[in-house]
Amino acid sequence: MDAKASPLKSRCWWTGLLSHLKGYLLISPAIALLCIFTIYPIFWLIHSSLYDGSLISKKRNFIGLGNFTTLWNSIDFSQTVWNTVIYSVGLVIALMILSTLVAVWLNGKMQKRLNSLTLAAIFTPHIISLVSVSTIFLWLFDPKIGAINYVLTLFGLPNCPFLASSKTALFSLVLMMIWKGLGYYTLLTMAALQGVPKEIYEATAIDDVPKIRVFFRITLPMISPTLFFSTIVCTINSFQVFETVNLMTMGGPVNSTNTLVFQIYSDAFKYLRLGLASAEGVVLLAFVVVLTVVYFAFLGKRVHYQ
Amino acid sequence: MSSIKLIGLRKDFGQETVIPDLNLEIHDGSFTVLVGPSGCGKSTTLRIIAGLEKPTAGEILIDGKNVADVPPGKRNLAMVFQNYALYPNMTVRSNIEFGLKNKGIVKKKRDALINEVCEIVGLSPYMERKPGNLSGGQRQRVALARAMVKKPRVFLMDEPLSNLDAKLRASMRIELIELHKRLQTTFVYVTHDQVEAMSMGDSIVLMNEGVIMQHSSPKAIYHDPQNVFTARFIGTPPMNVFEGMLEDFSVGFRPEKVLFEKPEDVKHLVINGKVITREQLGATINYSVETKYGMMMVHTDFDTEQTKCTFYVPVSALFLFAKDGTRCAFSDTQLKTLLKL
Repeated sequence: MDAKASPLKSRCWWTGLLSHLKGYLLISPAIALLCIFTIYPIFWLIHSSLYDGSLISKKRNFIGLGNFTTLWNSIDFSQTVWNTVIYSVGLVIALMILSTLVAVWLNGKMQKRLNSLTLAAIFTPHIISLVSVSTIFLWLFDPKIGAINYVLTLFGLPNCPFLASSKTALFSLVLMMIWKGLGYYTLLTMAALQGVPKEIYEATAIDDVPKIRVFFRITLPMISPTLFFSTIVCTINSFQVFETVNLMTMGGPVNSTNTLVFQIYSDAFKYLRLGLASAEGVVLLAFVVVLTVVYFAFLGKRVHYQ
Repeated sequence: MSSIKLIGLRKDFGQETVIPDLNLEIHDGSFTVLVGPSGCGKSTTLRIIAGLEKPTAGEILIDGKNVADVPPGKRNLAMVFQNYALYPNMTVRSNIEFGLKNKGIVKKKRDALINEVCEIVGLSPYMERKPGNLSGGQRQRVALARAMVKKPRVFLMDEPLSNLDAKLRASMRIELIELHKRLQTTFVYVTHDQVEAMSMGDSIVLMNEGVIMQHSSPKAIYHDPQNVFTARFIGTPPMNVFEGMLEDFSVGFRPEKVLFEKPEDVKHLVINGKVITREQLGATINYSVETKYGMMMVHTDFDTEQTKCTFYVPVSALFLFAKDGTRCAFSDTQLKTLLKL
């Protein structure tokens, strides 16, 4: 600090605030909304997770970590968490691998028109409302009159019960979400691929590097920041899966598609156990926070652009 | 060490013909520079030699063997790119090693080769750094080392110095000349900078619109240009070429051949004019002079602040060009009679 600056600084702490008053005024509506609709509910959620109580009665008792103990001991809840994890991990892995492969394929020296047509085709599901998609797939997945089983039959393959069996229901949901999400993640990956300088590939051609090695040593590291971003966004989204479960399976059959958010919804609005639902919300929050922290911790290390 | 021969080479990009019909012979061990204005097809020619671009028609012979259908990696050549094209996610060592690994060379031999080239280009202290943490000059050296370590038959360089600042460019120029002397390998070098071309090449291929305008030594291309394009492309400021003095020819002379003192013993042209601009370059000065034949450039150490000037051009410094731009060779005596001196 030089001598001239220090008296200014020591004059009063609020002169700084005052001189930036206009700025603070301008951001205050956004900050207010954020506080009211995001920050406050989070604290309220944590607070109410420490009480029992229901939506219809004002009376409630402080029970400490009682709700969490209940969840910890509940076989159904561990099944729910497990379902959510399996659903998310399965969907993320499948989406990342498939979207990368499709993006690399579309980015190659193919017919330009065919490429954009394919991209449009696989991107369209992304802009369709999830409710419509769920309704369509309810019919497609129908074990008796569904179109997918009809096609399977044509090829002499055994029919699949899809949503009707606890063994295949979760898998069916993953399948549908792959169909819906593939285009979006392919588009992101394609943008990343186009950011890789063409000369680098030319250099590998002159270095006589086999295609598969180019993919793993050049392409994949170069697009890894985007892939990492996609992975985290996709994971966070899948952890919050709700609409499809609510519309298609209601968590069934036999709890096999019950997921965290659907469980929260059921507990809060069906069984009116608000405290328990809040505790579940805190669990979900913890998952998402951990994922976000991991994302930011790794992001810095993954970027190797010049 | 290899010779390269291009026969009847043609390259179209869609509807556009970039190179109509190119025939070129690059001698074994030469430092050949492809030079020309942007869009003249020099880079395309280089990329066709490299195999990065497929010719529409024609043959590419390396050591007498047609390589038109051989992929770039199997042609046994190395290329240095304008923006270096280093692998950004790998260290300097891995960048240099990457091409060797694919050749199936054992680790011990690879290390020996890498250390050898890094010693030559002065990269040894930076082996574990990534390209992002290197300066432009250092990246350039990595690109060179990566090319050298393969011990290729031919070095291809596509404007490798254009991203460096002027000082570094001058020193890298000398280093490349030394490198060529040391390696004795065929170098094919693309640039749009005539100074680079003249100072580095022992064989210069001047191109314009996909056509070779002249292929000769730096000395010949300066002293004996075969057409107006060559005469005006090589040399700064470009050669003055004007019409109106002779009926069937245009006359040219280089700005640096102008004299301000009347030569007694040699026949010469006398030109009067008005100085329009004056650029002090240091020891020498560029004047642009308005004359009755049009604007002319004069490059001299003669210092004057006057606007009116008279200068003299010896007959031996004159060039005559036909209407189609080709050079017409005349002896000094023939010139004297033509110009009625």
